[in-house]
Amino acid sequence: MKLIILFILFLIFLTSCLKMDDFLYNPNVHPIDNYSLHNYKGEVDFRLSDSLKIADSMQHLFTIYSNLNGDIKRIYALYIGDIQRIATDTVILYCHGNKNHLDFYYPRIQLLSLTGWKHRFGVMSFDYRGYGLSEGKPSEEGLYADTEAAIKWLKEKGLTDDRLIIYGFSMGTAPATELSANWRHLKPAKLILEAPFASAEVFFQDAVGLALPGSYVMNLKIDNAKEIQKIQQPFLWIHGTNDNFISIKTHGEVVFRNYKGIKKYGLRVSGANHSDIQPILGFEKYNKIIEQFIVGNLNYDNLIKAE
Amino acid sequence: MNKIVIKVSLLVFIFVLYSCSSIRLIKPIKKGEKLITADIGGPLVIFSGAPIFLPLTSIGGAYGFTDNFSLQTSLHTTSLLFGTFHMESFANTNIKNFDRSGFSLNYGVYYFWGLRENIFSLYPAFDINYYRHYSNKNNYFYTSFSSLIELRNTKAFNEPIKQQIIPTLSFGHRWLKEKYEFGVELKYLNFIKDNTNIVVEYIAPFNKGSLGLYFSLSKKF
Repeated sequence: MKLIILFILFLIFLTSCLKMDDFLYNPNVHPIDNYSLHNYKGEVDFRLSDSLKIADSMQHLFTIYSNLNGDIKRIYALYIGDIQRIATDTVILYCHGNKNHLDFYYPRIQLLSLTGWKHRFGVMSFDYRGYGLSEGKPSEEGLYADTEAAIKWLKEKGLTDDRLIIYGFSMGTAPATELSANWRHLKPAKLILEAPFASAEVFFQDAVGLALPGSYVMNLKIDNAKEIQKIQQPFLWIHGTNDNFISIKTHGEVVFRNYKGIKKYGLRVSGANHSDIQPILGFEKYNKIIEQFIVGNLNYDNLIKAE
Repeated sequence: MNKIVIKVSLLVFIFVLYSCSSIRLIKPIKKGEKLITADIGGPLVIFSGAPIFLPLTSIGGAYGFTDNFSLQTSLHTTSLLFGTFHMESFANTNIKNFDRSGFSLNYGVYYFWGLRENIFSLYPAFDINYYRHYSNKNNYFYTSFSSLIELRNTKAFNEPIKQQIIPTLSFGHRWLKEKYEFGVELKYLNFIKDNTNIVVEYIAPFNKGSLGLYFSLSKKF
């Protein structure tokens, strides 16, 4: 009996060690030694043809410093467009998902730079701390700090609130939503969420089938469905109807429904899964929808509108 | 998001939860008899293209108050590693005896206490078991129908809960020795719930619920 009690006490001691939080980040599925961008030969969700290649002069890879409560890390960022025109251009800030690095997401970033016409909008993205070649270790607070560092850099180059569009994909919907709701250096003018998740808790409840609190296994506070309620800026939600990872019903629709701002648009992409919305929708159509949303005249047959 | 990493994380927790369906007493033990049990088991899933089950553990004990009434309590050790104090306590009683077979009933609760945020959850549950001895009079086969009851009406973001009862069908066998008891059980967990479009790929017929495999070893005192 003493042994059993000692064993249980040992397990209780260990409870201070285990939480699932760290499992949510997976920055090095395919590690890289340097960034290859268009020339990256590793796994990607889709590729664009060589004819759409971005000229080297319009593609800028650089580092910025991200300060998380004094923990300053050097993170890598990519800007596609003319940096000198940030003071007058509209810029899309792309917050990527939790897998891999900028090379993996490059086709998505490249596609956004074709919105309207090539380089009509500047596009910026970055690797969160611990991703790609960025220093540090991923964390929820790190996602927000690193995204804020990118916004701060844009502001220093002359960007203003009214010309910042923030776009989050999958895990990137968390910093995109957080910094639209609780903005610091710049207040994004519009928000685009692709395949957003409602909260970490919903993942558990979906899989387990019981209404158990997420805090039983994690400290993560990511809660897009709650934060979206604070957002007034126009909002575009895009989600694949066949998303077998982040369910459109229990995640995406909850986020969309909870938005209480001035204007929202929802696009359910029929037949699309988690990572293939762009090819299923068609690249041109995707670009058209993004462009129309940014300029304010979005008009698409299958769109859900609430103005 | 990376599906594999999320899946691993969720699998760990889901197995913890489903291991709460550990092997329970099917027949009451004798008056004054004590039993210490170790369980291992979980649902079957597809992971990286291959079927696996991630075995998680629980430990527990049982005591026979009368020849027809026993109490069993288990502590789910893997849950504890995640900061959740997770136990189950069940009573077992015979309700009908025949020559070589009989019906029995388990009733009790699962309880969870999140040690960090001090959140308590409770799930009542009951099992109806049918067992049958065969040529070896000690060993027996059995089948069980179990129901776990969700008392909450809503889940995250006040979404209504559409399924208040989580049913499970089990088929198992017990080998009884003088001092030890060994059990193996196949469960069909939550067999009415659609298991598509969630992070985990459960192995189950018709994309409903999940099949699970469980083992137990008990020592009598």
